[in-house]
Amino acid sequence: MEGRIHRQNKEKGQILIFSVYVLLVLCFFSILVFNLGRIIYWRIKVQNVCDNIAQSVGCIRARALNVIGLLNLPLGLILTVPRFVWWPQYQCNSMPIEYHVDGDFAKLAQQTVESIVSFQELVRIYGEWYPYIAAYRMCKENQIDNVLFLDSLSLHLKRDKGDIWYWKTCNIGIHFPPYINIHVPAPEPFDIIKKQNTERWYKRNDKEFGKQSVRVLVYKKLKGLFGKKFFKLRDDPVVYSISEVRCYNKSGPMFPPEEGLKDWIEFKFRREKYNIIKWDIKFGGETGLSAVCEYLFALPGWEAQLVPYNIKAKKK
Amino acid sequence: MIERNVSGQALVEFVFLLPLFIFLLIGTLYIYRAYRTLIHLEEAAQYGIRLIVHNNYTNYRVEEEIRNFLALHNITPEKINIGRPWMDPLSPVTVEIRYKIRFLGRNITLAAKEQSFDDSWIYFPFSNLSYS
Repeated sequence: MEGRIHRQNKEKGQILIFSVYVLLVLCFFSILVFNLGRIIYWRIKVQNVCDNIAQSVGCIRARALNVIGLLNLPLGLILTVPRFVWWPQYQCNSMPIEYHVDGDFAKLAQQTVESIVSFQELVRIYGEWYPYIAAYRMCKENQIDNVLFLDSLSLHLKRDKGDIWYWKTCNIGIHFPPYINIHVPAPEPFDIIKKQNTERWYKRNDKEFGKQSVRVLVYKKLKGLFGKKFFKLRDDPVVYSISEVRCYNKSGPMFPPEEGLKDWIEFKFRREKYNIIKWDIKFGGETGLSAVCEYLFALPGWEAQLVPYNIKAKKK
Repeated sequence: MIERNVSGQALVEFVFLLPLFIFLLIGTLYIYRAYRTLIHLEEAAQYGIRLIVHNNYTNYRVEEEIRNFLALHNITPEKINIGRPWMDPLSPVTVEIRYKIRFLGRNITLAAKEQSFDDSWIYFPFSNLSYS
């Protein structure tokens, strides 16, 4: 009897030790579940924000390319049409621009061209720099720490440079019926502004223009997770996500090539019999006709689409 | 030493613990349901954003499409907000969907919000072919 009592006393408290172990395991699991829940919540959110930022960056780029291309059209037309109009009269490499009859016409023509060029520059700055601001705002709104762009945000465009001559026109008119007004460029010595190696339309940068994809990395540090001290973790875990967006245009690149313009013109119009393009070839591709044609062929324009991010494909 | 009758002890303990187990089970199911709903809401918001960005749908049409999309998962959203700035190149399009679920007598609102910039601008002549 004594022995049995003694044995019973010895077993006392063993369940306590066992329960302490079990409690520890349970605590561990509950911490794991809480932390896992938070991590999954943030993983979903970070991925969504990353996709949204990538899509936004692509759309902003697409917008900028579309608008710059659209502005290439008037610029190219302004620099092309008068040239072909006056060319039979003045066989020279100048580019007269017929704008208005009286007044300081040459100055006005120059201002028109330069304002279009500067507006294009503004749009280019918008396309290349506004993605940073938009991404920062979207991150802040969704409580994300930071965003990194793994590719250059450059639009890969290059400004064409060459000479432009702005001419003043004279109005030769009959001011009684049948009211005929003819505008002809003034003779060379009078009121002509010669701009050498000045900025003209945008071309594509041949080497870089194909790289129209942007990879975006978004990350967030998860502060205040349970059991950080218990498990002696030094740093907070980081949730990150990568997305890739690609700008594409189904119809064409919208901008004339940087080099080999003459070859491009011949290639583009070999089968199609556009006689007017031969005039451009005569000028060595110096008119804005290539910019005009490329824009018209590239409609309806650029779009942006998320594409699956493939590390292996990038490594190759 | 009087030996105690311990038969039925496990049953009593089980009865004590049963509400806790049931609560845990129901809680898990509710959390599963909430997460599942949230993911569907996110999907629907993304779908709405894509319809605006790529297809240039009108707000009414987008809302209708989102409601149809969520109806497939038996979800009737409480509110759909579509923020679409007109001619504002500095602000994104926003689609926000709200849905209420009841848990322990309380209304919990689940919300999914997606944003993106829109590449189909009004002043770009040919991409603005609206399908509405």
